[in-house]
Amino acid sequence: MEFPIAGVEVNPFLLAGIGFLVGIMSGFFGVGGGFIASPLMFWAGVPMNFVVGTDLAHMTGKSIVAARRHHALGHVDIKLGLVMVGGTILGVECGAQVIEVLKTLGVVDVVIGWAYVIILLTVGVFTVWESLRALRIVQDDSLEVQDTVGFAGIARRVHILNLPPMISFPTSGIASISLWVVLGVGFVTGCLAGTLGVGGGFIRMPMLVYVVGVPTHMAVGTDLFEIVISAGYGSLTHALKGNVDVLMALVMQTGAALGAQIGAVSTRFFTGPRIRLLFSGLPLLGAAMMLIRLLGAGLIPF
Amino acid sequence: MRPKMRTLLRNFVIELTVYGVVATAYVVVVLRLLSEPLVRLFSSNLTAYALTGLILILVQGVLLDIVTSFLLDRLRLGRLE
Repeated sequence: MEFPIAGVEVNPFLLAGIGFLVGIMSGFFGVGGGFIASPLMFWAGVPMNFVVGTDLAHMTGKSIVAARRHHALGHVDIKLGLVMVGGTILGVECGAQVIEVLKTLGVVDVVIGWAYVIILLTVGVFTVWESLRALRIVQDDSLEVQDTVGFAGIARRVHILNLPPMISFPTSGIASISLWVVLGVGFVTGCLAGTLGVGGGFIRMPMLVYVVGVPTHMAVGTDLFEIVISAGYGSLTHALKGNVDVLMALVMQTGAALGAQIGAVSTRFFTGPRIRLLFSGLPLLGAAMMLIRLLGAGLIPF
Repeated sequence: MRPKMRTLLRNFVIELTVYGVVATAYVVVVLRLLSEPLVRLFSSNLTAYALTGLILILVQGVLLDIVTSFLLDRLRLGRLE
């Protein structure tokens, strides 16, 4: 089928299939899935500028479905999401500026590529280690498995940090936390997302759990709510630059809507540490994909 | 395989089939209706195209959410715990 805006012929079932696959991941892990969808769309023959813009557009629609489902399950802290989004948007703009500086220095591909690999490997390895530790704690001490975190030290220290103004998030069970911490988490994840050109859910979700101290199920839902706003903003700016094929995004969304529902419902069958253990595979997969791309582009001497 | 899991998988396949048929029909109709006006808007007014695109995505997101929620409830896919 021809998509005249992007000027390419792509099988719509393939696009819906990509949407379905990424939708399941989105609903289950609370990530946008851009780091998986982008290479698949590029592989399907979509030009790179349309890959970035269209992926963000379909991510917006898909995240709405998943966020609504999580909201119905009581897994979205709207207050936390709204507070964090200020930092996220500022971070995304900052990340875009970093890209411009790297472009002028002529080192954008190699720096971003390596940053991607290092960050994804760190997040993946840390999450594996922590979730296995949490599962061991549950086994040894017969603790309630749902919200056990094997590495709660950072969140505990962050909660006692007295840097006004302080704010509470009762939905997430946080009595008091510095507003700057929440904005900082949004800024850092937004900055990384803006620099790496992805939604940033795979970084934001673990940071919400380990730094802010949000329970895993709530982190998944709140992260999706955050993605709706940040991806909506991103898709609007890309559409203004002519990088979005709306028809393509609508087709992908039909698959993603079902996937997101199934993913969100599936979280009810898994405990927090198990979700995080499964989640850890995503950044590791992303790191492997980036290493392959770097090797293919000859940016790693082999 | 446990009976619960078997029911879950069976319902999942049914939902996938029903939704697949509905979504295919919808995509064919929507693409046919929207294709030309969107292409015209893309080449004449990018701002209107961007805003229309975002609205379409948001509206479709909510509509698909209602359809998939309906299917999930009808097939009791979300109630097996």
